[in-house]
Amino acid sequence: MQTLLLIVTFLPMLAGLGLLLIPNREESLPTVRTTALWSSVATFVLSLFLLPSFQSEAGLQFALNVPWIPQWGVNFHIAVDGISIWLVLLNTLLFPLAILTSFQSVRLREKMYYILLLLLETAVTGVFLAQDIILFYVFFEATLIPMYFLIGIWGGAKRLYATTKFVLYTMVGSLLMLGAIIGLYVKASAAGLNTFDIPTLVAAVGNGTLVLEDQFQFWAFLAFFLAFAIKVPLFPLHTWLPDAHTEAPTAGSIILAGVLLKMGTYGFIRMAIPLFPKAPYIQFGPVGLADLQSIIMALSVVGIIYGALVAAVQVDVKRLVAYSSVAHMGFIMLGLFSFNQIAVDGAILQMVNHGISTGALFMLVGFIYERRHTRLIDNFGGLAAVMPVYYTYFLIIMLSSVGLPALNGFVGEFLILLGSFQEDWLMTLIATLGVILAAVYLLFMFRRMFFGEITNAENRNLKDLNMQELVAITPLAVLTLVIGLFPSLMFRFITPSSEAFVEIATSHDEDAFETAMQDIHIDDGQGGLLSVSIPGGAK
Amino acid sequence: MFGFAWLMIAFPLVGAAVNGFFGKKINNRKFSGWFGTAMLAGSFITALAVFFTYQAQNFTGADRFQEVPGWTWIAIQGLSEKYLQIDFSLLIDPLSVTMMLFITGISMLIHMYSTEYMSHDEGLPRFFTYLNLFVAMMLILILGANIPMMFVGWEGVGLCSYLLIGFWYRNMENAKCGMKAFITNRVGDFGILIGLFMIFQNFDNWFRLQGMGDASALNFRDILLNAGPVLQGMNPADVLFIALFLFLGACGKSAQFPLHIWLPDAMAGPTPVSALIHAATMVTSGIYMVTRLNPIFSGNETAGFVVACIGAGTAFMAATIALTQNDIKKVLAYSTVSQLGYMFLACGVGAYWVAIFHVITHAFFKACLFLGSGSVIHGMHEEQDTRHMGGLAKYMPVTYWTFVISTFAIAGIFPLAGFFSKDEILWQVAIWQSKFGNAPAMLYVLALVTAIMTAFYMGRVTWKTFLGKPRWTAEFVKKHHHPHESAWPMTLPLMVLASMAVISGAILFTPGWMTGGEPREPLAHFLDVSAHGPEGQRLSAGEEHAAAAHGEHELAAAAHGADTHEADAEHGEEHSAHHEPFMLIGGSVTSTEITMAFGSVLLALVMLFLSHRRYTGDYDPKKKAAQKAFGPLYAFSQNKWYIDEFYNNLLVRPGVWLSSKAWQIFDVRFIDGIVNGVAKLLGGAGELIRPVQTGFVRNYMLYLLAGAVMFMLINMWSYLVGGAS
Amino acid sequence: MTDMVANSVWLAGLLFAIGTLGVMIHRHPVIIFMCIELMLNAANLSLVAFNRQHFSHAWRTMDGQIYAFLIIVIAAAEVAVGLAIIVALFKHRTRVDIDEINFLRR
Repeated sequence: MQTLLLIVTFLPMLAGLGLLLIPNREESLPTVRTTALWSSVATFVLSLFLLPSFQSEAGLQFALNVPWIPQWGVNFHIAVDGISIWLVLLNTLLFPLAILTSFQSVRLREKMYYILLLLLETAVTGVFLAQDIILFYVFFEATLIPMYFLIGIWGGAKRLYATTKFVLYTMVGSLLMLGAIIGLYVKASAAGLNTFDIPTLVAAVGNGTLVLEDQFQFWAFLAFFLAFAIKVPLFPLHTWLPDAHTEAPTAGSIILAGVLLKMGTYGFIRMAIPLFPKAPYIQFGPVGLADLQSIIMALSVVGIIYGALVAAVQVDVKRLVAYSSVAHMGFIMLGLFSFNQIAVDGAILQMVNHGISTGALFMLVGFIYERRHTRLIDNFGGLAAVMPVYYTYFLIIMLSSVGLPALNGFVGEFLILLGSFQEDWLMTLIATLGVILAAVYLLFMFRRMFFGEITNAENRNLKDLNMQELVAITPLAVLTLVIGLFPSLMFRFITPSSEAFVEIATSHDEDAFETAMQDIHIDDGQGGLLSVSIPGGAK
Repeated sequence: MFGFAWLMIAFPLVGAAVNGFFGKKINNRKFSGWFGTAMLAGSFITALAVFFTYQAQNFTGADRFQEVPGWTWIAIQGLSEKYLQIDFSLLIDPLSVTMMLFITGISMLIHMYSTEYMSHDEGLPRFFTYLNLFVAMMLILILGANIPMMFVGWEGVGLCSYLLIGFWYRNMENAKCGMKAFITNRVGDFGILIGLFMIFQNFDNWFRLQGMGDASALNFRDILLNAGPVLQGMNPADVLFIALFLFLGACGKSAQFPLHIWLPDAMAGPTPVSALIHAATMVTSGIYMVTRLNPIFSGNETAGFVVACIGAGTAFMAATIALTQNDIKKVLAYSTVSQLGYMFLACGVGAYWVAIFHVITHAFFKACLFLGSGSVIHGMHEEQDTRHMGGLAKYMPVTYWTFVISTFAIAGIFPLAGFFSKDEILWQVAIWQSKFGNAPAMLYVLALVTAIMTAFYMGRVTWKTFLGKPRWTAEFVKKHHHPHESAWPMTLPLMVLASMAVISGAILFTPGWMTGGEPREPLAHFLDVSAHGPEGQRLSAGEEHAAAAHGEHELAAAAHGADTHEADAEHGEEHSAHHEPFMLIGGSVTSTEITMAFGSVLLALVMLFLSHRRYTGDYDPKKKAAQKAFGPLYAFSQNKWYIDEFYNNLLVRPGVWLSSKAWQIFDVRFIDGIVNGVAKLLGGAGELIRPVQTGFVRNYMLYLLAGAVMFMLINMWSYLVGGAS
Repeated sequence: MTDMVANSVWLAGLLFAIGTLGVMIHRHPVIIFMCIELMLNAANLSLVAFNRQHFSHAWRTMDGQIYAFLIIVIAAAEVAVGLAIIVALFKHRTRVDIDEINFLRR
C-alpha cells in the first residue's frame, strides 16, 4: 500500500514531466489533453483503492518512511489517516474535473498549463500525506509556484496584481512558520530528538519527553497560526482571496477553493495544534484577558457574518462566491477550534463539502463565463428559461452551499454548530445567524441571474450545457446528495482519527479547568443561559 | 411492521423523479399530471394501510412510538465512545398518522385539481416535479423520527415552497416573493437550530448521567419518554428559551407575527400551490412541531403564554388586514394567517389536540376555498381582483356552492366543521388557568372579535365575488363574454373537500352538551393515546404536565377539553383558586358552553348577513364608501399595518448599506490599504537604491572590485594599525 | 620553493587585474567571458600554489587542487550556459553590445 500512496502522490508529476517531452505543436494538443486528463483520472482511480484496505481504528497507516536528509533528521515520511484520506480523495477527484473544464476555456500555451496543473496536484497530495515537517513545508510552498503561474498567465484582467498579492500574502505567513519550525528543531534536538517527524514530535510533546515552555508554544503557535490562517483564510487575513479567485482561470478557482484552502485547516489539525497543544489556552493580555482559542473562534464568527454581508453586495459572481468561501471557512475554523468531537468531525466533513460545493460553484460560473465572457450578475437574468439544465445544476449546488438538509453542506454546518454550541453558546448563536445570511446572498444572486425576463439580448440564444460540461459537473452534484444522505460512511473513518486530535487538543484544557476549580474566583465565562454546561465541554 | 411506510415517501419521490428527468421527453400533458396524481393516490393508500395497521395493534406504553428504521444518517462513533447518532428513520405514532392521513388525502385531491388547472402551462412537468417533491418532503417532516430529520422535511418544504411561489419565474415579482418566503423561513429555522442545540445539550447530558447509552438526545421518542425528569431538572429559564427558539421556527413556517410577512406574498404562486402548501399542509407544520415537542412548551408557563399571545395577536391582526384586501387570494392568505393564529392559541393554552383538530378542519375548508378561488381565477381568465368580479354564481354553480359551504365552515356556523374546532379553541381559552391574571379573558375576547371579523371578511369576499352585479372589465367581456365553470377534475376535489368541510368536525369531535353526556371524541382519544407517557402522564395535553411540574394539582378540564366540563370545573374551583378560569365563576358549565357557542354562531351569522347586505345589490367598489368612512384605519389595514415597510426601513436597507460600507471601507480601504501600503513601502525603498543598477556590466564590475578592495583593506586593517603602532 | 609560490601569487594577481580591467573595459560579451575566465584561472593558480606550499608542511591534503578542479568544472558549465545565452541574443538582435543588453533594468 505504501507503493500505492507513492504512486498516487507522484503519478501526476511524472505525467507532467512526461508532457514536457511532447513537442509544442498544434497537432500534439489532443495528446497533451488526453495525457493530462487520463493521468489524473488514473490517479483518482488508484486513490480509490486506498479505501478498501483502510482500517478506521488504525490511525496513521500505509506509512512510507525513508531518510531524506539524514544529517538533520529529515525523513521522507508519507502516510494517511482517516482525515487526510478524504482530502486526498477530494483532491484527486477535483483535478480531473478541473482539467476537463479547461479543455474549452484554455487556449493559451496549453501544454504549460496542464503541466502546471499536474505538478500542483502532486504538491497538494503531498501536503495532505506528509508526516514530516520539512516535507510538509516543501510541499506546502511548492503549491505556490504552479498557482502563481496559473493565475498570472491564464488569469483575468488584473491577474498580475492578484497573483503577486496571493504569493506574497502566503509567503509572509509561511516564512514565519519556517522560523518556528527551526525553533522547534532546536528545542527538539536539545532534548535529544534529531527529527522533524510529526508523529514522533507530537508524541514527545504529549508524553513530556519534549518540554516546550509556554512562551515558546505561544509564539511558535502564533507563527504557524499566521501561515495557516492566511491560507484558510481567516478574517481579517482574507483579502487576497477575492482577488485571487476573481482573476484565476476556472480550474484555478476550483482548485484554490476546493483544496488549497483546506491546506490551512488541515495544517491546524496535523501540526499547529498537536505540536503546541497548550498554546490555545494560554492566557495573555492584562490579567489574562483572553486566550487564543476564544480569539480564533471570535475571528471565525466575525468572518462568517462579515463574509456573508460583504458577499451580499457583490456585483461579480466569482467575487461573491469567494466571499462566501470566507464565511464557509469561518464555520470550519469555528468547529475546529471549539475542540468538541462533534464539531471537529463536522469541520472535517465540511472541508470536503466546501471543496465540492464551492468547487462546483466556480465550475458553473466558469461555464457561463465561457459563453458570455462576463461575470457581472447584472449582465444575466432570466437564464432559467434558456438554460434549464444549467439552472437545475446551479440550483442543487447553490442549495448545498446554502446548507439545505439532505445535501452535504447541511451535515457539516449542523455538526459544527451543534458541537460548538456545547462549548460556547454565544458565539454559536451569532454564527448560526450566518445560516440565514447564506440564504440571503446566494438566493439574491440566484434570483438576479436566473429569474425574471431575459433583459440582455445576448443571453437569448445561450446554449445549455454540453456533454463535456455535464460530465464535469455531474459527479459533484451527485456527491452533494450522497454525502448529504450517507455522511456516516465518511465519519467511520474520520472519527477515530479526529478523536485522537480532540484528545490532544483538550489535554491542556482540563488542566485549565482544574486550575479554575482550585481558584474559585475565575469565572468560566459560560454560565448564565445554560446552567448545565461544564467548562471544558462534555467529555 | 411499518416498513412499508417508506412507500408513502417513495411514491411522490418516484413521481418527482419521473417528471423531473423524463417529463419533458415524454411531453404528454396528461401524463405528467395524472402520473403525479397516481403516485399520490399510492401514498394515500399506504397512509390508510399504516393507519389501519396501527389501529389494529392497540399499542400501549412506549410501544406507541413505532420507529421504522431506515439507515444510519449521521453517526459519530469513536473507538470507545458514541458521540452522536442520528438515524434516517420514521416515527409512526398517532400524531404522525393523523397528519399523514389528511396530508396525503388533500395532496391527492389537489394534484388532481392541478392536472386541469395547470393544463395550459408550458412548465407542467416541472410543476408536478416540485409538487410531488413537496409532498415527499412534507411526509418526511411529519414522519421523521428525530429533530434533524424533521428539519430535513422542514427545509425541504421550504425549498419546494420557494420554487413553487416563483414557479412563473419570468415575472421577477414572483421570484422576489419566493425569495422572501425562503429567507423569512430561514430566520425561523435559525430558531429551530438553536432550540435543537439546547435540547441536545440538556438531554444528552442527562442521558449520559443516567448511563442511557442507547438513547439519542435528538430522537423524538427518547425526548418524549424522558421529558418529564429532564425538564424538571433543568433551569426554568432554559426551558423557556428552548420553547421560544423553537417557537420562532414555528412562527416562520406557520406565518405568525413577526414572521408572517411572507405568506400573503406567497400567493404569487399558482393557486393549487396556495391551497396545498400555503393553506392546508406546510404552514401547519409549525403547529405540528409545537405539538410534537409539547412537553417543552408545557414545561414553562411563560412559554405557553407567549405562544398563546402571539397566536391570538396574529389572528386578530391578520383578520383586520383581511377586511380590506381586494385580491381574492390575499383575503384567503390573511385568513390563513389568522386561522393559524387560532391554532397557536390552542397550543399556547395547552390544548394541543384541539390545535391539531383545527389543523384538519381548516385544511379541508381552506383548501376548498383556495381551490374555489382558483376555479374563479381560471373561469375569469386570470382575474384576481374581486372588484372586477361579481355575479359569478350563475355561471359557476359548483364553485359557488362549495365556496359558500366553506365560508360558512370557516365562519363557524353550526354544524359545519369550523364550528366544532373553533368553538373548542374558544372554550379551551375560556377554561384556561393561567398565572397571568386576566390574560385568558383578554385572549378570549381577542379570539371572539377575530371570529366575528372572520365571518365578515369571508362573507365579504364570497358575496363580492359571486353575487351582486357583474363588474367584469370591458376587456374581459369583449374577449370571453362570460366566465365558465371549470371541468370535472377541478370541481370533483371541490365537492369532496366541501363535504369534508361539512362533516369532518362532527365526526372527529362532538362536545358533551350535544351528546347529552360524555363527549364523543375519537380524535382526542386517538391522539391522547400518544399523549400518555409511560408514567401515565399526558404529554400532548401539556397543561397538566405544566401543573405537575410546578407542583400543583392538575385541572383535567384544561388538559383534556372533552372531559365532562362540569366535573372538571369543580376540580378547578377546588384546587386552584389562583388560576381560576375566568368563565367559570358561578353558573353551570354546560349552559355556559352552550351560551358561548351559540352566541358566537349568532354573531357570525349577523356578520354574514351584514356583509351580504353590503356587498350585493347595488354595491359599487368605485364609490369607496368604506375608505371614506374609516379613513386612516382603512389605510392602516389595507397597507398591512405597514409591517413590510417597517422591515424594509429597519432591516433591509441598513443591512445593505452596512454591507457595502463594510466591503468598501473595511476590506478595500483598510485591510488592503495596509497590505498595499506595506508593498508600496518596500517598493519605495527599492526605488531609492535603484539607480545603483545602471545596466552596464563595467559598473557592476567596478562595484565588485571596490567591494573586494574594501574587503582586503578590512582584512589588512590589523596589519596596518599593528604596523603603525 | 617560497619563490615559486610568491611568483605564482604575483602572476595570479596580474592575471586577475588583467581580467578585471578587461571585464570593465570591453563591450563584447565573448571577450568579457574570456576575462572572467582569466580571473577564475588566477584564483585557480593561487589555490594550487598555496596548496603546494602547505602540502609539504602541516597538512597532507589536496583540498586546494580539488577546489581548482571544481572551479574549472563550474567555469565550463558557466561558459556553456553563457555562450548559449550570447548565441540566443545574437540570433535575436544581431549586435551583441553588452551595454545595450539591459532589458531587466527597465
